Amino acid sequence: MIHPGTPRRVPSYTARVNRRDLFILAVVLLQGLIPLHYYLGVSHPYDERFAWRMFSETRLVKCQVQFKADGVEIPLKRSFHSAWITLLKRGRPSVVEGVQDRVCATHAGQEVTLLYRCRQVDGEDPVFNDGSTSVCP
Amino acid sequence: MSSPSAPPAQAAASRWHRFWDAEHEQPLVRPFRVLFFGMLGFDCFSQISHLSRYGVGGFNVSHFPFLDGLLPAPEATWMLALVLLQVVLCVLAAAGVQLKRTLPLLALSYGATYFWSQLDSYQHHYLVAVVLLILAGAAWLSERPGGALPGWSMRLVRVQLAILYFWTAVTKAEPQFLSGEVLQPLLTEQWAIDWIQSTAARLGQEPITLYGALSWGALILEVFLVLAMLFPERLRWPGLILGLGLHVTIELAGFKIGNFSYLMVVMYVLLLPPGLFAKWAALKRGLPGPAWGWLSAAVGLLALAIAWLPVPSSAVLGLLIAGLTLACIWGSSGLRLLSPALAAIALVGLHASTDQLRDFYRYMGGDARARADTEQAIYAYEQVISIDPDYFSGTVRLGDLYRASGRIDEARSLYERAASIEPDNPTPKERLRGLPSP
Repeated sequence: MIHPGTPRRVPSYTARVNRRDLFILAVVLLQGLIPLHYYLGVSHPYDERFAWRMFSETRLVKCQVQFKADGVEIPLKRSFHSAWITLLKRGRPSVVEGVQDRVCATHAGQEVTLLYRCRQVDGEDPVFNDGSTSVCP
Repeated sequence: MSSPSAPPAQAAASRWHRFWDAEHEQPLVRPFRVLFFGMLGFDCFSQISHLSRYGVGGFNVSHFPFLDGLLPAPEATWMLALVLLQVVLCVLAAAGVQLKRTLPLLALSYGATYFWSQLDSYQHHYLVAVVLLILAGAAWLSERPGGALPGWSMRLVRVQLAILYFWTAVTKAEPQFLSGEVLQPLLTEQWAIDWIQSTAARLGQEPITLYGALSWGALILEVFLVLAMLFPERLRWPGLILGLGLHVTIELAGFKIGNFSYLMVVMYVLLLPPGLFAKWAALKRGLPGPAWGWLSAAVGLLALAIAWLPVPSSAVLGLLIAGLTLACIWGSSGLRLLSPALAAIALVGLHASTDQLRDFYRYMGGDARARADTEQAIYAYEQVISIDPDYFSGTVRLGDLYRASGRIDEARSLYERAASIEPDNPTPKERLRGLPSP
């Protein structure tokens, strides 16, 4: 109960507005700017995550990712879930790197090579790794 | 309103506050909350069958490299627990239960299942993660009881959609897309392909020309939708018609994008005039007693209509939507009291009317077989049979796995059972003939 004469507590309107405004500003700026990472070349052209690139031509890219240990092809389907294989076929670079790290760890001491090439809808066939050199440290 | 002589910074601040002080959008909150979280709960449950892919071989690549160093590879069972939690939280959020706690927990749980692994890279799940972050933040900043969502949060979600449409339009402003070469292979429904071919023939054009025209149309429409989301006061109705038309067409044309179209259709509640819901609230207060009976009958009709639709778990969906609608009409306090029961109905009903949990183990078993992990495959198929004892191919598959691991008697029993499930199917009989004599 508020007694007569007690100064009334006024809600800190300014503080509320500031917190709200900062939150809104952060959301708008982040969401507006994050997709730029794709266009500024920070991301690999096949990595469209967080860029809102719905129905882009990248969706139609088909890649071949093949690892060999001492010249013998490693059957990736034996070690990785088929969903990872699908991401490899889309050429997702971070997944290729992750699989590469795992393959290097499981084939330590062997010469591991990677063939990583893709076919784009514009007919270009970029080769990101031609399988001629070892990819493991 | 700022005076013409106000300094530019002050004028900008004034415009900013006029834009975001959106108390008049408050009536949108409840319908958006009920529809969005209702749809999201269903979408979350629909992911269950895909969760078996997590944790296989302890391999994972998360969305952010630093997470790989901090977290172990997610396990399928952890993901299953998180998704079930999300379904419950969605029902609670739809009911408006303690949003200051419910929404951050939901955002955290959803963020974990999305960002933890690139196995989920669906753009609509990313959109949901962002919208949940917005709503959780708004509930946290809200000064309303229980963190009820403020009107400006509806505006912020709409701005988020404008940003999405903007960047999607940027994506399409490329010669490759505008030529129609990208759209053509993405279209999978035969009726749409036939329509394009026949229309192009009537116009004396090649189909690719029409695909190109449609691509241009999509780009222009998305630019328009940016404006409609930012300035609904001026572009509300064309925005609603064209936006809903776009997403319904995308769904009908067979683009493989899961539940994204449904989610976007639900989001268009945000373009409806808030006054419509305010009028309804006023009307509701003045309704005479018998009118509530008619309303309940109308909601019952809604449940029947949804149950009749040829979609999976339509009966459960009908009951849930009708229950939420009824409680929403009567007032949120009733909805809050009912919410734990609704969550229970959602979980049990969705499980009973879909194959999600059976397929969770079925996919797990299929993948284990492909990796020659017989022990894991046997475990998974045993779960499949325990969930769905009359599942023919799962019964045969488990029999095969038993046979391969030398458990002949168990294999025989399963083949006999499979033969009783589908007496006309020759497969189990062939398998039985191939077994050594007892």
